[in-house]
Amino acid sequence: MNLGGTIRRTALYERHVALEARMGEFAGFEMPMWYEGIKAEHLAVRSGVGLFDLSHMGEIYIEGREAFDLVQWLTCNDLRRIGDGQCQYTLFPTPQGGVVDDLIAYQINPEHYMLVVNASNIEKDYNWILQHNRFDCVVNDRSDDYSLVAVQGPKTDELLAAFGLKNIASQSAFTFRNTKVDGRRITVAGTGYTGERGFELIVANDDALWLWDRLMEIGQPLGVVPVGLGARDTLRLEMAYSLYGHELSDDISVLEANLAWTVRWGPDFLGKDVLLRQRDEGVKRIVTGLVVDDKVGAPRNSAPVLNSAGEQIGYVTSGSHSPSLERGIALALIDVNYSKLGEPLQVEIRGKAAPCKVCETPFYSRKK
Amino acid sequence: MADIRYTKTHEYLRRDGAAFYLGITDHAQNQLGDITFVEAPEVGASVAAGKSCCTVESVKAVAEVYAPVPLKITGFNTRLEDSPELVNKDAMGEGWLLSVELDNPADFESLLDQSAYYALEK
Repeated sequence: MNLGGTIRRTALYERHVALEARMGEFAGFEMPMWYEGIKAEHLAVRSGVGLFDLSHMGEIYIEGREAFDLVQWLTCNDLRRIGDGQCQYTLFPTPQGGVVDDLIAYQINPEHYMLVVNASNIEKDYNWILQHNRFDCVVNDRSDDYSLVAVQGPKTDELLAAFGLKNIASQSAFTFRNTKVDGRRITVAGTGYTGERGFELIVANDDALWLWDRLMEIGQPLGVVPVGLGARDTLRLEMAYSLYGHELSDDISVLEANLAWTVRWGPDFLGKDVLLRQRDEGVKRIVTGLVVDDKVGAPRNSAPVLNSAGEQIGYVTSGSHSPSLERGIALALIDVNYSKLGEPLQVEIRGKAAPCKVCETPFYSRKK
Repeated sequence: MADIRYTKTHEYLRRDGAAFYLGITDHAQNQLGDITFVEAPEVGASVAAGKSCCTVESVKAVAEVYAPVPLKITGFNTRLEDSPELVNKDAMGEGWLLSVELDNPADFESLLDQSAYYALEK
């Protein structure tokens, strides 16, 4: 980290402590891992509404005449597919086809973007962008100026309407707008990492306590709960959403990460030639969903995945107990020849081979 | 008042007449978070002091449960197969893990008493 080992705190730190959260270090920040418990928080987001402090996330601004060209050159999705006030999930590929980070690009206008990046990668991403900025635009890391609170779950609209965002129900996913509540400026983005209806609210640090306290107070009749990073991880894993450092890294290509859907072959971007070749030749390994057959516990990160003959064909990139399915689930990077749906495999759990199967992802489907 | 002794590694032994029950402490379940799975041990196995006799999984962690003293496993709390959350709800009571026989019942007294264990938690 840039602060030489100093553990940082978000503007909401004192609220987490007052709520008796189990705190832990994540990406150089002291963050809430859970409050009441991962399962209860997870299920509250699936059936009600939860609040997440995600202020550790990074906000990098790109501004100038050629801002579009810089963002498009560095990302593999087609930036032309979004207009002003829309946002897009995309990746920074490396020239070798690996991944620098995943991010959401917010188009304020084609000369002005905000990129929301992973906390663990803020400095790396900022330097990456600067290093490739041969365009007429400036890059600013404003991560330390903003706090981010996510509101996620089927009761999100009800909560945010009561909070003062009256027409929230008509706001679509992957759109954002700047508005004011009680005279305070909020960016309201239809984004999240849970698979549920939800928004991410970005405010100046000085307004973070106000935002959190208002949402907790107004949300009380709706049963709002604070949600820690533990449930954030189980929620994203049930949706098979990638996490940097697990499914995404320098050494795993965008296509191996099973993120071909984020790649559009029209625009030119860094790493495109390598990814095109991989597309045409096919990849040898791919991130695949596994569900454990029996109740024998959960696969854990980096556990070996074996074929039915007991030969290792890959490893777990993210594994956990799934609170919704009450089963062990995993994303695993495995030999593509074993990635057919229903393929019977084995995964090591506590040193023993447990039967599992390749399954469809997401692992969990939102109830209609 | 239950007759309970503790270890530095957060197991407890409860003596109930001639029977002994092994579990993890309330502090331990609180540290682990939601328990999702308890591996049934090999009933009848003898386990040396300090060796693993059972594994407990939470959503985020896997923890070994160590034999506080030399013992033989005589039973498993089968309610945990369907309700591992009992360990969170009542670690010191209904969430016990194993019934055991001590090789030497006098070993019980060598373990930490409540005040010595609580002093460790501080």
